[in-house]
Amino acid sequence: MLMQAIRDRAQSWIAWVIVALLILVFAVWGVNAYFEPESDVSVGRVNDVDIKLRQFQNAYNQQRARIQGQFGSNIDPALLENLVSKDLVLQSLVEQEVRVQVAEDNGFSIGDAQLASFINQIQEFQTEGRFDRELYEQLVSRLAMSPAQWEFEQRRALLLNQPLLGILNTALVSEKNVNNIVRLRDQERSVGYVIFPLENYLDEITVDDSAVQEHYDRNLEAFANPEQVSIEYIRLAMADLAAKVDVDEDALLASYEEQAENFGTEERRKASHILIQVDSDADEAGLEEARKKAEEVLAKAREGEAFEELAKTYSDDPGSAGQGGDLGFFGRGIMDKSFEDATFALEKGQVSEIVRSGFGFHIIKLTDIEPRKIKPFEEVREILEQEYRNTEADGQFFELVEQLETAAFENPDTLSVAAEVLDMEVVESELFSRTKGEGIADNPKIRTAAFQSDVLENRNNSELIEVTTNDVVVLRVKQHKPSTTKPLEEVREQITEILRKNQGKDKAKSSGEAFLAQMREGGDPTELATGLDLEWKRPGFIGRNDDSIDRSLVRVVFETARPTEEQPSVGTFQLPSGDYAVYSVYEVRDGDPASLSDEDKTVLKDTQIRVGGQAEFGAMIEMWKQSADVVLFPEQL
Amino acid sequence: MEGYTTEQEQVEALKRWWQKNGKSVLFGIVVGLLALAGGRYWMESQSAKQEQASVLFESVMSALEEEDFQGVLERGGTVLSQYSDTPYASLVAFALARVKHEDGDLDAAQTYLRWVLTNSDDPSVTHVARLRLATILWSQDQSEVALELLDGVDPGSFVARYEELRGDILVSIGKHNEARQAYTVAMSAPGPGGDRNILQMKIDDLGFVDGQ
Repeated sequence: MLMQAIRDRAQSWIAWVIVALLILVFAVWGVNAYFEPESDVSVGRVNDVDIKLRQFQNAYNQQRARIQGQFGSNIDPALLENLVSKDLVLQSLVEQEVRVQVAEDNGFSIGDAQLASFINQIQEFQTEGRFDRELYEQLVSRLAMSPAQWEFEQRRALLLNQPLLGILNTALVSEKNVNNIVRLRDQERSVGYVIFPLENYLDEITVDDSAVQEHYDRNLEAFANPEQVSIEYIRLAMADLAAKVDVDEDALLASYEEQAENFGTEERRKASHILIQVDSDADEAGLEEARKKAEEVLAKAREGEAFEELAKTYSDDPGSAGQGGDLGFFGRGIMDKSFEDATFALEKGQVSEIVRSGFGFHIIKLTDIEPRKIKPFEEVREILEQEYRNTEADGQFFELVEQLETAAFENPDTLSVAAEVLDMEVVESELFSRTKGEGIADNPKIRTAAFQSDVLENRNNSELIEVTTNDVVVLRVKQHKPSTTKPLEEVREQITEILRKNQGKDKAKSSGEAFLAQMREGGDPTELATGLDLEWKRPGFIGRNDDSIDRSLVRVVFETARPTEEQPSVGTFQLPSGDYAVYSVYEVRDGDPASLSDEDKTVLKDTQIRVGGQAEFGAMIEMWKQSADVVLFPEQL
Repeated sequence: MEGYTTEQEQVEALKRWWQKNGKSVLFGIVVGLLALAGGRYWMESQSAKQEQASVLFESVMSALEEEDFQGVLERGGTVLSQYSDTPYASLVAFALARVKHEDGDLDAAQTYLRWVLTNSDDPSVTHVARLRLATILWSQDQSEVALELLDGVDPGSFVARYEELRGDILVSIGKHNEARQAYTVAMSAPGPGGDRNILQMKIDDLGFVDGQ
């Protein structure tokens, strides 16, 4: 109805009233909100803000690059895939978004001036200690971002950082806590112990056959050979395709011609100028006056007066007048179009006619040319060849993948059709189990696929398996070896060993417990031990990191309650080796905070402050996350 | 044309309507625009204020990092007095408390933390303030007061921090069994805690084997 009415009166004054109202609306609220692109897929949402697939991909690629940097570029792509968890990347994006929203809601704010001064101080953007706008724009564009986007990200980062700084840098640690830690960390304990070695008991043990049989019957699954399969497969990898591409020399030359500018620097020119400024609101007379003045100056230049001196005297460009009009080197796309055209038409040393630009009238002198420099073909041939191979392979790859998939799907009981279509070999693997394999079966994706019921039981071709995005496999089971139980005779010795060791452990333990009982009745451990042909050892005070005795025993010693004045603490412990230990803790000597050097104390304190601050901030984030409305769409990844 | 006469009539009708209601409509529009302008002015001055506080906050933080404690006190004081309704005030109060704590003036440090407890309405911030205040009370041998402070609230995601500090305080007043309990809760709490090795040492030191 309304639209009809508007159409009817499109030429009447009512239409103009509506237009005026619209103008008012846009003037007040701005036009931006109505034209934001909304195309990208979301991978998650925090409250009402979407996390876009593109954001995720950027973060994911950055994380990959970071890990690649740590491991070097030779890292196995499959390993890299495993190290960079998509889930963790998504979680950290969610966390960032939560932090930004909380910061904004609470009234944290980064002003334009603050952002600008932050960016101005970044050294990468400076030449000779000063912010260089051109350099800045160049570097930012390398990140495939516009300055506005980049600044948006920086503002976000600064915003995120403020609450973090405010908590981390202000954390407190109590002197008492520091002293406590010193007391515990540097604590020493005076101990005595005796070891009942397992091997002393093994000889006297006989294991009878019925016990072996019983153990075998009870633990059949432990003595099973795992189920195994071997597979036939076709593996299609982009890298293999690339290696097989026939390189067309002419195409390389053509692509060299096409992208020659990428292999060198563009021509740059150095010029000086004299600007006679014309105000943007100047009238005819003002314009004429300026032109006249420019002509006078040009005449002086032509008569041979030094251009530099003329610039100093007459130029209205405050940036360059002092330098004799010098603007330095610049390439195309920097200056006002008419200025640029004039400059690039001059010979070296030549002075231009009067040039009109948005600023006024210029007289330009070309002072130097830095010609375009391009690497010769031979030098970049290898890069071009690789590029060519990759492009060609890339073009074939997806088509071949599709053919492979179709052929393998339509002929589910053989791979030979697919092999014929693709002109590739069917390869065979060795036997492997669900958990372990060699060669291609080293990859868990391959093992999982081979043991899927459709592949294993129905003997169909597998679906397409993406080892990586550029490396795919289709497989089928060739041989299936079901799980078998090893015959008793094969494992008799193994079982006998196990049983002997178990009984030995029990004997060592009961000897140890008897020993402890005698100690408690007042027996002197040194004498008791000597009587058993063993030794009660007294290593004196040991620290937590002592390595003169078994480390697991050290740990237990420090977990034992403190001795009393009258009586040492005692305890027993079976070492991982099966030996049995009886020990006493005679005395505990706490670490002495006063003996710590100032430097060590500062290090300890700073560490505790950092740990405490991080824990506090971690808990804050957790709390924010819990009260935010977070939805993930992992299926979009 | 038919439309012409209709329009002519409409114009007449509108003119009459305008004679009658024009003033009130204009008045309404003016009031509306003024309210809009006022609202925007208020929002802009508010965000200008936040931005100023933000700059001051950053300078307090760099003073803290350079250990220029005088600078922290001066600029921090400005934030607390003039920008107390921005979120920066709480963080700056934390910085001031830290500086006073380093100076050994624990009473002053307490004052700033109590200021946050009273003035901040962000529960995550007040948890931090409460933990730090309890730490200082403990340092001043006011263990009972500190424990009371920790007892009164639901720690939420801060449970590991609360329980470890509670355990530390309980050990210092000889309540080993309660301390062990607190440490054990801290150890098993989900989410971020402090240094787990140290926590384990603290638990171990209370001993699993009886002295006999």
